[in-house]
Amino acid sequence: MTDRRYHDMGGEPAGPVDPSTHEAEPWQKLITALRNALGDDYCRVDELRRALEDLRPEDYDLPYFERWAVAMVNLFCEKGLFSRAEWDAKMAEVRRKVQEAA
Amino acid sequence: MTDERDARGHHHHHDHDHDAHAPIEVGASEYEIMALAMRELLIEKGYVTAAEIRSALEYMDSRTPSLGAKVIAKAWSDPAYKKRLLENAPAACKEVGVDVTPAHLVVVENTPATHNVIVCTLCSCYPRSLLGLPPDWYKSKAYRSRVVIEPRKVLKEFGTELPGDITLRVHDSNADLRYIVLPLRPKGTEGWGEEKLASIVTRDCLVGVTLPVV
Repeated sequence: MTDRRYHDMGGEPAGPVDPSTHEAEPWQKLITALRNALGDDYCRVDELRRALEDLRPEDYDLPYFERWAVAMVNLFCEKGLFSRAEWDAKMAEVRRKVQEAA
Repeated sequence: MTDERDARGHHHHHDHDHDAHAPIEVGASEYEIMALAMRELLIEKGYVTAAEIRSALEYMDSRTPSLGAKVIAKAWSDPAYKKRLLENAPAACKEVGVDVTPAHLVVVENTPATHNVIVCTLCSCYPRSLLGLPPDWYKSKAYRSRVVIEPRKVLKEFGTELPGDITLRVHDSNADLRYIVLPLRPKGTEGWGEEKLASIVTRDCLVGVTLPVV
């Protein structure tokens, strides 16, 4: 046995592949665009990869863009682009605006 | 924060047009809210501008499998180009106006004896410069786990059955090196121009899970 990490799943048993696809939604594209726009100055590909690999298995099992969102926020707080408190406040603000718009 | 698991496997199917830059979306999921909140906070803090985000979105929309198809159709039509493509894919792509960045790209050629398939078992590295965003299944646990041990079975799930005497070669991509498959030019395409050839080159056959169909 080796201490394989959760993301290292090549060769593991898994269910059938579902070949259906759908177009990425606007927020999913936005997640990707944020990474690309931040680029190597603030969010290198390898940093994000490491942040994804560091997720707890239950977060790693989230759908792809959801997993990216969690990893990016963790990474930005870790790097100090913003603090956890600033993040929580911004989330509360945006959630309130969404609820008001509903 | 709400239970993240509520959003698991949660898919929206919107059939109306969206403005990707709209600040707020009614009925947004926790993760949509996270995307919008990240956008606002990163702009407020001055790490990125709205214009840079818009331009990244436009670039993303310009990357589609038609770019990969164009390159493959040219390789099918021009043996000298094919040689250059196999030797130095980024340079050959640049010749037809496609910038391959930032990871290196290697083209793996199918032959009558060998069929190639690509995967990224560790994450979901994909030749985005030539194919755009990866499809859902490419990023799935099922594909990433299984295609390296039972590729024939996985290909069957895409409706692709290969003769038993063909060697299957599975290429595991990583953050610095991406692959794309050069399929065999199918019989019945003799005399076709590059545009017509490109029309049968699909995303899935450039990943190697299907074959071009005439």
